[in-house]
Amino acid sequence: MDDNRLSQQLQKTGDLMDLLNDSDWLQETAAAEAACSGDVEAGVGTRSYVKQIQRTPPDALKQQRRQVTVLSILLPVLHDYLSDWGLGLSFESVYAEAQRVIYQRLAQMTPGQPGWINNLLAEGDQYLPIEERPSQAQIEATLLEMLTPADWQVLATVAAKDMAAGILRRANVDEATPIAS
Amino acid sequence: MTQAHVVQVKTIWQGILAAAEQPDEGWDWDYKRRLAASDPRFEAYALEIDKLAQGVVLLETQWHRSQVDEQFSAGQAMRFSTGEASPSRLVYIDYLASAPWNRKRIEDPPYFVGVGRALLIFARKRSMALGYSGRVGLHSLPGAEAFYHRQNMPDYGADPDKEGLVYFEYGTLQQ
Repeated sequence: MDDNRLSQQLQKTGDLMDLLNDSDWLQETAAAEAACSGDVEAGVGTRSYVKQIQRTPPDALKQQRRQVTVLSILLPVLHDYLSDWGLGLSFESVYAEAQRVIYQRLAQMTPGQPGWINNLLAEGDQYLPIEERPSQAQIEATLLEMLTPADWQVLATVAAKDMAAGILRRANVDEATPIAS
Repeated sequence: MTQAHVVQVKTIWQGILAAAEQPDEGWDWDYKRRLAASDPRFEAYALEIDKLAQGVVLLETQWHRSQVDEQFSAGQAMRFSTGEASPSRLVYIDYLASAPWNRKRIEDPPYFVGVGRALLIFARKRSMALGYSGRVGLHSLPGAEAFYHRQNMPDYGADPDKEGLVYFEYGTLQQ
């Protein structure tokens, strides 16, 4: 990273992060990371994480790329779907729990779901127009199918608990103290 | 960094390693997020693309001082001796990590490139915003030293106080 380049960027737009929109800078970044394997970890506390990665067979990790690609398609839809619920204070907790559940369900798919996911990925790989992606149009419905009645109950409980905790925090009331007897 | 990002690190990042039957060694980002929420000296951020956390960073913004005496000799910054400290504050990168799938050894090309660099630039941005003139320090893991060298981040050698990890520090950024 060249400090002169950063200084120029500051003078140009006032925000260093605008470099992420610069194609030359991105190419330079790709070349730099290609030369360094992509390991960027800093801090003593990341040692255990890096050790874990190093001990994991590369083939096992490569198999997970598909899962990451699927999640990158499903999670934005899940986020938008839950955003429409008007959950307010408890949105973050509900979304966090919902994505945890979806991750689990992807490991225990029902018979029709693997085929649907194959089609979803194929549509993405072919860069088809959105109107020619039938599997894409089914994401929301399939996400809802993945969640069991017990999962919905968990999400409802998380929403209620987090809403209550949020209100008590804002009112500066100890959560262990009953509001009324 | 949000609760959803912490869940992603715990379930998706760690889940991928667990699927390969690697033990979870207690890499606790939930603790780091709580630390950042409760202690104003710490700030936790995630770089998110397609709603997936691609990288995370924990910054310490009050305690750390520059370990480099920029006045020692014109153009030749030198590290202070043990026990000395510059009055200049900096943003210290306590933790910086990219998701498992963003490295060439695992994915070629990686799922995303530039995550580490973007987080590093963000740290410098925070340093500017806090009035620290772009000064940023970190201790690199051995496998990442080449990356920081490629970023022209000055290398001040192994630090015995940090398990021998090499200390890197960016100095003042001219405006």
